[in-house]
Amino acid sequence: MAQLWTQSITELRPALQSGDITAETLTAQILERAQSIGPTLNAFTAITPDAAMQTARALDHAGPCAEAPLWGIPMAHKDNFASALRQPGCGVAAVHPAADLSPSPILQALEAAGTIEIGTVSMAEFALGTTGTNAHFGDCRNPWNPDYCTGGSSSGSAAAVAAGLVFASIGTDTGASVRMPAALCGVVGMMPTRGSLTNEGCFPLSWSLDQPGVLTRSLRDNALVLDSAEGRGRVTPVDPERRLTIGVPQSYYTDYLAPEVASAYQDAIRTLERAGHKLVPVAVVEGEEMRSLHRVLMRSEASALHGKLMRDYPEHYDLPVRKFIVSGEAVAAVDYIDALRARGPMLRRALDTTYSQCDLILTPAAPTLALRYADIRDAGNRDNWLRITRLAHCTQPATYLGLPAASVPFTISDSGLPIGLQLIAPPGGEARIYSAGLALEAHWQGLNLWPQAA
Amino acid sequence: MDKTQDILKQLLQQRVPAFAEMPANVLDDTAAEAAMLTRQVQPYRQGLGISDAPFDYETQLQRLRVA
Repeated sequence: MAQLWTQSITELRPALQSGDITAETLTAQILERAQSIGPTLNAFTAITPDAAMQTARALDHAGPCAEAPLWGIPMAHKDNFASALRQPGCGVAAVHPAADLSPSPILQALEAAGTIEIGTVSMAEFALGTTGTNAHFGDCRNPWNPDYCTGGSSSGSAAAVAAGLVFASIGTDTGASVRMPAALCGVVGMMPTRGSLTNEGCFPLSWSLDQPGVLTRSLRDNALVLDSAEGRGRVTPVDPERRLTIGVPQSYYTDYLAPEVASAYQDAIRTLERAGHKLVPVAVVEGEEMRSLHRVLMRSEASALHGKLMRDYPEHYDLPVRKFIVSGEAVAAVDYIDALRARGPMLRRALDTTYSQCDLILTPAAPTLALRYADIRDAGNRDNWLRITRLAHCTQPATYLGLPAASVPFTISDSGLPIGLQLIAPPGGEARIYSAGLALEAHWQGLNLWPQAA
Repeated sequence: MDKTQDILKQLLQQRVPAFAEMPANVLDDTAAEAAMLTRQVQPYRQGLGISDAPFDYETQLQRLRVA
């Protein structure tokens, strides 16, 4: 049987729509992979084969539907979304006992678009963690090398998509959690403009920063899933002919880069120039400041959300998460409000400076390659601790401002780990990101690589 | 431990009784992180204007959309 899992959604659509491939055939193949490879990566919190096959057969019985753009495509989403059938476990339990959420409109829109949910994917405890560790379910393993982390907090989303266990996954991003794991696992991770995808039906971490996002193996697939997940009938153009002016930051995003990431960044600049885009140096304003204020918002809001839950369910909180949340209890209300108030002026200043000279900017997605789990365990070592705390350095400013940003896989390191680059655009600029990213994606696909776990 | 950290440590001990029972070094670390958060907002307060309300940010995000 053809290895359907190696194909993209865009490639599979004609065969699904014509009936050459049935939803049942595709789902059975994906389930077999998820059940055989998923456990070695610890990518799933649950796999639901009976329900998935039932949905697939029902779709086949009704027949392909041209109005359902993702008809017959198996997916699995981060375990912080509620569906009509289940409440989320949030990375701490099979079902969080206090979760009482309405079904996520994103999941409903994807179901209406014809997708088949095969289970739920693993995540960091309450979506709080940048590495992929989880004290309750075990660490999620990087498909390129299981000794290395996936990044987090949408760890299972990135691992499952990279290994070909699902075609797409909805994750959430509160500072890095879609883009950074996507970069470390070699997939596309899009955090759209703040508000594009609703937070309704999603267990929150930080109300003013949380933003659902989409992980896929290609940019075209990503646009297709994002448009379907929004459920507004939008068709975001992914245009290979579009030529853009791309800003190259001269500071902040160039800090702390590992040599291989710095080298890949320079290669990416040349790749985009060769593709016909105009690359211009741009100044970055207030990167560190945005990161600081992001921290104030996230800790205050997480503290407000989890204060009572932490008392009621202390067993759900590993010590690092507990410390993070408790620190927010000491933030003064006026400081929290000012961190919210500063967002508008900072957005204006960023658009008047950095983004006034270009259509979007190119940055590294993470300053380092994926970290080894053995080093993460040894966080008492100052170098390791710094590498962990800086994982979100490049991704947090876009979250604070609410700008769309995506990580696109570009190349592989000498040690066999993927390196992704980040594209950030002004509000609503998803089409710019998808179009510019095509040149980076072409370089990645030209390497013709699959992770060892696949 | 500086004065700010000491004050915040006492505040955390009062506000989160279960946490107050944790080892002293954990409390100290957390107080240090809380002090860092407090210091991080101070420099930006001076530049904020009367119209810089949180809802203004959401309005701008919509108004400044591009294609």
